[in-house]
Amino acid sequence: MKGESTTNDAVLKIDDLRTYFFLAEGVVKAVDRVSMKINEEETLGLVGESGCGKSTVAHSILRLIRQPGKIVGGEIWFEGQNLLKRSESEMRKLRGSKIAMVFQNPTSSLNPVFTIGSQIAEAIKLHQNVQKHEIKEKVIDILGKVGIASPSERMKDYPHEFSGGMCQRAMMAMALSCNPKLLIADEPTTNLDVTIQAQILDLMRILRKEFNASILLIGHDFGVISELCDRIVVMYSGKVVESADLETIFKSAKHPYTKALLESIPRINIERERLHVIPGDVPELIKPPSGCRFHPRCEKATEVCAKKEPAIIEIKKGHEVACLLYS
Amino acid sequence: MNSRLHTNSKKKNEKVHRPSRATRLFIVWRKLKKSKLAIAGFGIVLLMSLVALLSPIIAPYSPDSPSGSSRMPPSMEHIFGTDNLGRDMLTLVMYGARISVYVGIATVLIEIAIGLSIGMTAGYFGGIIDEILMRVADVVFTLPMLMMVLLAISMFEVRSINIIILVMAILEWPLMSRVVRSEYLSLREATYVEAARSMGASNLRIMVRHILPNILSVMIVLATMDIPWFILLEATITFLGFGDPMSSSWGVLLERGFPHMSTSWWIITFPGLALLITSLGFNLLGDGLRDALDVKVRE
Amino acid sequence: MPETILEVENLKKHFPIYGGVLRRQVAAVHAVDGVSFDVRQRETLGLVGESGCGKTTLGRTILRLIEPTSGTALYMGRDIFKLRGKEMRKLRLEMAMVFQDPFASLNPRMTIADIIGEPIDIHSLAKGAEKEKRIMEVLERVGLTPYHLYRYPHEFSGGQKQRIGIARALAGNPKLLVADEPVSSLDVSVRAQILNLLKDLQEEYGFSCLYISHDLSTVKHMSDRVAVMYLGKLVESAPVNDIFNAPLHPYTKALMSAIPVPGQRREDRIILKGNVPTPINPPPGCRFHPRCHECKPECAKDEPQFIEAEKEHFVACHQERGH
Repeated sequence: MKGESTTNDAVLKIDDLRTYFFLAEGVVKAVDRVSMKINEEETLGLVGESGCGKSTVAHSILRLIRQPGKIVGGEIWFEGQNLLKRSESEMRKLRGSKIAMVFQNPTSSLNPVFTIGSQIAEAIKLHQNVQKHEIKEKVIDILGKVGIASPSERMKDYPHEFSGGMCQRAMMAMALSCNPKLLIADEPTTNLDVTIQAQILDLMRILRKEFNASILLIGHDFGVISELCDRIVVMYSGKVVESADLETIFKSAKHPYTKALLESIPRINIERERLHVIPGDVPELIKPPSGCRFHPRCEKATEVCAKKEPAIIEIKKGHEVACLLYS
Repeated sequence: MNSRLHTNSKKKNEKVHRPSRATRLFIVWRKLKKSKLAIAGFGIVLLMSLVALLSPIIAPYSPDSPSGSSRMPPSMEHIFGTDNLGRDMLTLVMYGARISVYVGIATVLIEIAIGLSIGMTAGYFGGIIDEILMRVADVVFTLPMLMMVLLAISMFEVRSINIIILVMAILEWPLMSRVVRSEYLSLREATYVEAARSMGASNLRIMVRHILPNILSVMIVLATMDIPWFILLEATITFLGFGDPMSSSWGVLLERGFPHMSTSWWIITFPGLALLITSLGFNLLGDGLRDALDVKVRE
Repeated sequence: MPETILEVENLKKHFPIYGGVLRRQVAAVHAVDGVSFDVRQRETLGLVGESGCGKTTLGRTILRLIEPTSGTALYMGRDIFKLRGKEMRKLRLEMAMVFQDPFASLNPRMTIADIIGEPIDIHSLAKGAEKEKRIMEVLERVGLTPYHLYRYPHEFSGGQKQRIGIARALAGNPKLLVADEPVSSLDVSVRAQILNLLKDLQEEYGFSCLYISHDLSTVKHMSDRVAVMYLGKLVESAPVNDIFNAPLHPYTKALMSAIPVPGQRREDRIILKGNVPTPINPPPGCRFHPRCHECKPECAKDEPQFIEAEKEHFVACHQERGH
């Protein structure tokens, strides 16, 4: 454990990020002035429903946004440099080596015509100065580390011969093969069975210790997020609505959306006759509600909420909320 | 348009607004209007159809007897000039529309009839029937179209436009039937079909209410794009000398105008232009219909 | 003793796999391999399991959307699988299904009125004004308004589409509702609406529900009793609190311990080794034995029987027999 990490030691710092998609029907402000930071060896959970912008944040960090999307503003600081100002070739050197990403659908994220071993080897070859015979050693080593039995045999398999859980392990092997500083995991267990999910979460805990990486874990399942994360950022409709450490979010969340969401999901450990209902539907990003994006569905909404967009306010150290109730 | 209807709509007691079948058509029309190209296509098709229908009334002269001296260039009296026998070209082109448009539509209708029945039969029964029908389709599909058509026509003593139509339709059905069959097979597995089955819907009901409407919309698009294909095919057949000399389709006009191409360009050019524009019109319309008929494309 | 409305006995569904030049049957997917259970009046039986366990196939087989390979299913005393043509169609009015994907389960070319009215039409329950009245009633009961009647599915959100699907299922006043993952395709903030709705409707209409899902938290909320499936067989079934608080079967125990709990870090996890095997060649003896941490030699040889270990608590395991 590194002892010198302070709150100024952010591995990644996102400032006022704006990523918009320019469609024929209009502009979709997928990420609209979002800020957050991840410290050394910290695991940050980014939670939200579909359309909230969390995946877009991840893709923006790695500058993987393609037409009709465009990063139109903000800064992303990594290792003292603004990633949004780096050239494409510099970004390519970063991707897979310093910042690695694991995706939601492991089977389709792997190239079906190459063996698992060769795909991992390619990642290693690209970013490390290693001799040919050493590469094979490294591949076997990392496959073993992610819990794949008989790695020297399994590395010759193709993705379709791997189960969902194994594919996800393979993806992690690829991501970790070059010892990244930051691992972005975008809904890594969403499509996996519960028992396999438990395996993968366990694996991530072990790997986190071994590789000393910071993790940005993206998802919509609060349970999964709780497993690994130190701090949580909640997003809704392109904006950050609340951010705090794990315990605070669950015990004393302040934003009406966060509170309502936590009360509306069925919980194993809490008996509820009826679930708390959030009325209405998730808004379409093409025409978001005016003012606070959550106001049409919010119990506590007042007239002002429809007119004024709330700014992010720090109500306690480490606990920020974007809600007019608190300003 | 406000595309999401909120569950807690305040219009609780609003009179129920009931769109009937006509409105469904209206929705398609509205979507079609959005594309300028589609409207252009529709306009052309409409124009040509009207010309075809009304030619006896609106044509300036008679198509059979000469109305001027032969091979006169375009002028005020004869906007498209006259042909080698002194007949007015504009009139001839208008009357030509009758035949050509008729050819296009008639052939497509027969093609639809054959393609629909064979495709649905193959899909519905599956197994050996499906295998046989599809293999036959494959064979017919691979035959060189033009050659076969010419061959078939030359077997008949009489050259009539209807024979040509029949031959074209009989040789062109494989594609349509394949499309119908694959649409049928995929629609059959749709979740909403499964839902209907779970409610106790009979096979007939599923076929009529759930499957056919979707197949038809695919076929309409295909058919619209096939019409110009058949018109051109007929023109080609005629141009090559296998046509019906008694008819006066654009193909016949092209054939007649060919020998005079260098001296009197207008005899071949205007029928050629009419052909081109009509083809374009149907293609644009078909393209626009594809989007307009797709329920999921937003307005 | 609550009346049993559905009694399933030794239900099997095998899907043949053809191979070779002559396309003979070379193997079979034992999707459902001998399942027996019952569903009582007005109760919700939760059916859980992971991918490949056969729960979805089971749901569809009970509604005879898929024909069973063998076994019986007594609905109100009559074997569903022995009914023919007309009789079966009449029965379908009493058994309805809510599908996982609300988008795919509604015909995009039909208006909401037509969609909901379809069961009424098929069984000629009502016509004209009477029919419209029935449709409006059920529409309002699921939280939509007459304003929505003549719109098309694509104009609605996921949650609303699922309400329409539920309205359609209720239009025939069913006695048994099979819900196959009804909320997994919906946004998290919308799920509560649908779950509460289903519970309310069950209260009001009095139907029984077979709730199929892989999401254990939801199943716990909705069910009175829960049955756990693994690789085509039932491994445990019990009242909901017993299953979650005092599971007997090692698989159930692992399943329960694997559930991530919001706000908590589970330290006591049972992590299963290996992957879920395929139902094509299930392991001999107890199907779970290769991954079981309580496995003993007999587990690999004999298949355990599904027996009542405690009151209302059934389990199929050689080692765990209850107290």
